[in-house]
Amino acid sequence: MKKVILIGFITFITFHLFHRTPPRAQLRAPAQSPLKTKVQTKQNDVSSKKILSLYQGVIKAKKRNKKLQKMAINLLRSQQGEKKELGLLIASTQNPHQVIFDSILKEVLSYYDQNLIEHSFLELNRYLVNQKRRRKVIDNLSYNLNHGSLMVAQAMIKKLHLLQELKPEDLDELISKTHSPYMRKSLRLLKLKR
Amino acid sequence: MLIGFILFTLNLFAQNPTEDFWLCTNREGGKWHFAKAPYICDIYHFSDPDIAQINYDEYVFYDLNDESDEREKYMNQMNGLVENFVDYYFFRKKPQGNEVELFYYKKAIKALLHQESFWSHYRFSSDGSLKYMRGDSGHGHGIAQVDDRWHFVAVQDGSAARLISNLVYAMDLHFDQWQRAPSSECVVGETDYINRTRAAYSAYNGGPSRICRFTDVDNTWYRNDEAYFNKYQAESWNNYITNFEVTPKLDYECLNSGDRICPQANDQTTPSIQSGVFYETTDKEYCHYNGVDFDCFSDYQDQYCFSQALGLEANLEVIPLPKNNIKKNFFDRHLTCQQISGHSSVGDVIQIHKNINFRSTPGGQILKVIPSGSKLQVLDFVYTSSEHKRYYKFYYQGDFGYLYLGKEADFSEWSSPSKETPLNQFVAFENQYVKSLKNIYIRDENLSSLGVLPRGSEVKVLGKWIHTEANLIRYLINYQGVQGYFYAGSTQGEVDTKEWTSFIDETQAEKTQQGRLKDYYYYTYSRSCPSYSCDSVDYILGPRYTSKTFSIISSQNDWAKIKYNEEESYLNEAYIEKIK
Repeated sequence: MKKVILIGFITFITFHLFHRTPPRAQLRAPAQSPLKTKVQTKQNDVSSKKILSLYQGVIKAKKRNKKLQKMAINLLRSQQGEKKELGLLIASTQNPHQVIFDSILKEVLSYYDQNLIEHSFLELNRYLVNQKRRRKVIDNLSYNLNHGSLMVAQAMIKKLHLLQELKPEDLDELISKTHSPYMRKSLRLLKLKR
Repeated sequence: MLIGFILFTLNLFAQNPTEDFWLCTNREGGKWHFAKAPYICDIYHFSDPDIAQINYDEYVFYDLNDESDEREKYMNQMNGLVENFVDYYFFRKKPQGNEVELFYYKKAIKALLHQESFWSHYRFSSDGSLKYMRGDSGHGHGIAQVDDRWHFVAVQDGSAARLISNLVYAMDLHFDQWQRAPSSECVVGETDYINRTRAAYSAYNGGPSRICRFTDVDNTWYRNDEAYFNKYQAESWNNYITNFEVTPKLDYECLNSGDRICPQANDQTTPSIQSGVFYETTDKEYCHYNGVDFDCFSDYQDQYCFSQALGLEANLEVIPLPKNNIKKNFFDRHLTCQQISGHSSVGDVIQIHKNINFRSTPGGQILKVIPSGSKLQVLDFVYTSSEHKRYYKFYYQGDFGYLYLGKEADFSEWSSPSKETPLNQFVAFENQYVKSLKNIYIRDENLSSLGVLPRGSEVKVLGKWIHTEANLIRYLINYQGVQGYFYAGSTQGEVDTKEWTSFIDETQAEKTQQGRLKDYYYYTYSRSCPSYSCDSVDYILGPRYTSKTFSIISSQNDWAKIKYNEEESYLNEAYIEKIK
């Protein structure tokens, strides 16, 4: 019975979040007022609360399944930082999945919200034991340190110690590829922290 | 008139219920004119005024000066900054970008800053204090009007108050829309620059789903798009600029990294090597020529200690080093700063003699007041070159922050050394026993490995080696006949010493129930109140990552109140495994 309720809830949330697309005319017609913004915010909060409630259910029931993985992927692909963060939360309860991994690199590390970096690194640790994935992470870090958001790049440097599976040679590679002298200096100091 | 841009990157719990004119003390008005848009409020709640003035003095509008002259000076400087910074930002993001796109992008940013704040940011008011621009009932912060309801974290951590960080923060949001715009239905490809500019603004102001708002004349907020475009076309900022050739001397990356004293960027150098200047290397080290070779330090913030230790004048000019292969003698901050009269080192305990404001950064937001007589352990130190003020970092009742502890002439009135153990200890004393919480390498003074100290080992601290600008802590021990140093964490930035060792007496005295995450969980976030909808407080690592535990203070309705990293928070009991 619990399982049926959980699956029903997941289906509802997924529909609520990703298939509730209003017709184009509806998107354009109403004038946006401060009041309307508040109403929309409240709606956002409602959907966030529902996902958080789902997350709580997943934690308690220790649920791992494809629907939850799919939900995490869709959340990570959202254009809103809030949804991406929820995606990371749901992903943290699930088994590693290639598309989740790719989405964290493409949709979160290459985004511009520095507040998502800590959570992303904690999640990426689970993928770094695989050599190909490790390569992709290092390439992504290298690219974003040089060309990504400056706020994100600085958060990456501050939080890099959370990627506990990174090896000294990985840090050497990052040092050699990083353009910024400040970031190179921080990476060298990180190497001393062991 | 001023429209704080609406956030579409909500962090987990969305809009913050920030009150109007939050932390807006000594508010003053202004004019709807460049450099002086209303309102302004004290900056010290968010950023250190002394450091802001050292770094940004040329970008401060001084109210007591002749307004017209001051505006001309301000606009010349600010235009130089925007021109140069946008170049830097654009080519960082698009190394292969072309000059035509850059031209339109730059104009889009200039119009954006006009629309949001009339290019206003820092002002030195007639009451003698540094303030910064607050529009939209105080919710909009600074030149790009970062809104404290939607961007609360960036406002609270001072990013919105610091000029360069404010620009970076806003441009990150705007650039994302600039890149998206060509694929929207209202823009005909990448080179449709006018519509691309308008679309990027609509999305920046109204959120990503409003990218074509500028085509919808019936939309209430179309008026913002129209106002923006009028400014874009008029380019009226040019009417107040008399010198278009100003080159800023700002180190953008240093300035974006927090409240720190940064060197001025300078392209000029001397024809021959000489003493009396600091040479900046390509690795951002600072060196002084001593007649034979170079004495160097690695963090510009320590220039006061370094100058004092070597008997140099304060605030020497910084110029690029004209050659690379030089012999460098490196001076570590922990040794050079010891030369300063009354200096306390990391790990020392001091007793304060006054009630002193405890601030998030040296001159920033007041967190609380620490009462006279308190004994605290030093975790970091900062000396400013202006007036030789000294600030020390401490932990007090759940927060890490800074206390001002006087100048060279009066430091003894503020504090004195203490031999007592502080209430919260983060760095061991000599002869104290500690327990390792990880397997950690034992190393010699050259950092070559001598062996491993296994997790759970109890060892006596024979000495300490604290080094580098990261305040790396190493304890000297003798473990099974091997004498060497092991790494025990850092106290600069995030203090993590308690992840590496615990103090034996503390462990023995620990009587509260201990817990850790169940094996199933890699990590999770604790919350500020007993609900998943409350703010995240700290990440708790599972046993896969760490052997560190937390104290369980109380338990109610499936939620436990825990203490982790010296901070109390809540964790759902579904995560917790209780341990003896």
